Amino acid sequence: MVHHHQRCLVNKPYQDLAAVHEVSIMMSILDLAIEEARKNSAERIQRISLEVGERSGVVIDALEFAFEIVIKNSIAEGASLVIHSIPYKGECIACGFQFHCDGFLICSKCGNFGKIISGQELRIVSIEVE
Amino acid sequence: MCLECGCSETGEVTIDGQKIDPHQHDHDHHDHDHHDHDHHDHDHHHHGHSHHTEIKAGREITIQRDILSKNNALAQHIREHLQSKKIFSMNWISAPGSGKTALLERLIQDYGRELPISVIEGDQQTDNDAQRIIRAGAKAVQINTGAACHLDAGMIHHALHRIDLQQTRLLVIENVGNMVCPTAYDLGEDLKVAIISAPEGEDKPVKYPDLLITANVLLINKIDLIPYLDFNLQNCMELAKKVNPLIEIFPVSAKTGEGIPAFHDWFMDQINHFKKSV
Repeated sequence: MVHHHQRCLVNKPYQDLAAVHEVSIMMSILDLAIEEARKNSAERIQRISLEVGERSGVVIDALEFAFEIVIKNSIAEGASLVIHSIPYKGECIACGFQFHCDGFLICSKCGNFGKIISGQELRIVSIEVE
Repeated sequence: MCLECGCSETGEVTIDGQKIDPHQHDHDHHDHDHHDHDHHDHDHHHHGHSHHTEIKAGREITIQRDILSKNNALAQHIREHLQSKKIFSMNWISAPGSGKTALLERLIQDYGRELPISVIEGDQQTDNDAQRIIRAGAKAVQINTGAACHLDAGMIHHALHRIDLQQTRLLVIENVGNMVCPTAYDLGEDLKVAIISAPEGEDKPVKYPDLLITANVLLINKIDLIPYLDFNLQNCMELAKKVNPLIEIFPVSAKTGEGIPAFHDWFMDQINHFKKSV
């Protein structure tokens, strides 16, 4: 699933509540991106690509909203944001079956417990610069 | 706002009422400090000029880094520092009003004499909780996060400078009341404690799984109120185990003391295990 950045889909009260920790996370993202851009002698950042796990504790809509705020007056102003959502998946400790978790870390095949194999990612994957 | 280490937040953060400068670090964990030089290359204000001349169009740069890597590196530093001082640390996370402070008062009453406890209190406003902790007999530092919804490793790092670590064997961080945002931030703790309370409903573990997934132990507080609620304790515990099969669960009442000894026994086992490992 790929979320291309869109402007302010969420309504205002929700933004005010949810944006706070996503704003600080987005600031960290921009910081890492700018650091890498400078290292590579780039002047502008055109795109930032992220991987965000379903169970990373971060709301993608709020992240997109925060992006608009933090890129202002930076070398990433006007950049696009591409977010790859990573599904929350478990692997059964008994039969090894890999399954998508709707919430429960329980094997959908044999009913045993599973361990988390994906879905907690919060990673900057790449940037496009000029 | 510190773009360098991600250690700050929007709004003003204070510790014991004093404003902290999130950019100012006492140690040199970071490559550079905003105040030490005015020719920094990590600014968030566009200067409108560049020191670099070679420009290629549309280059892809692969990064593959954890977004919270700076917070996590600082958290790891805190963890190692505390372990070197033989201080066991816990991060308590719950929704507002689930009884974190009341449970901590119990812990201080039961163990405060044999186990010197220091508490870092996180709240958006007021030092009410720190005052309660001090009255209960422990040392406390209050972080007011202002607008922020969680504590991060940078805030803990600042707060630790106000704690006498020589006089501390147990450090408890009482996070800002919030079941979502604090779960993403490692604070350098040895144990993450989740708390829910019976009035919040038995399906709370499923509604807010992020906390349960990352926690080592779950306290279900206010069980003394269960007779007045539609709350099935067994169902709640089963749901929590399905979300995180490895989580330890203790139903407790901070009010009546029910269930507290079982939690404290388990907790002391954790501390003894910790003592042997450091």
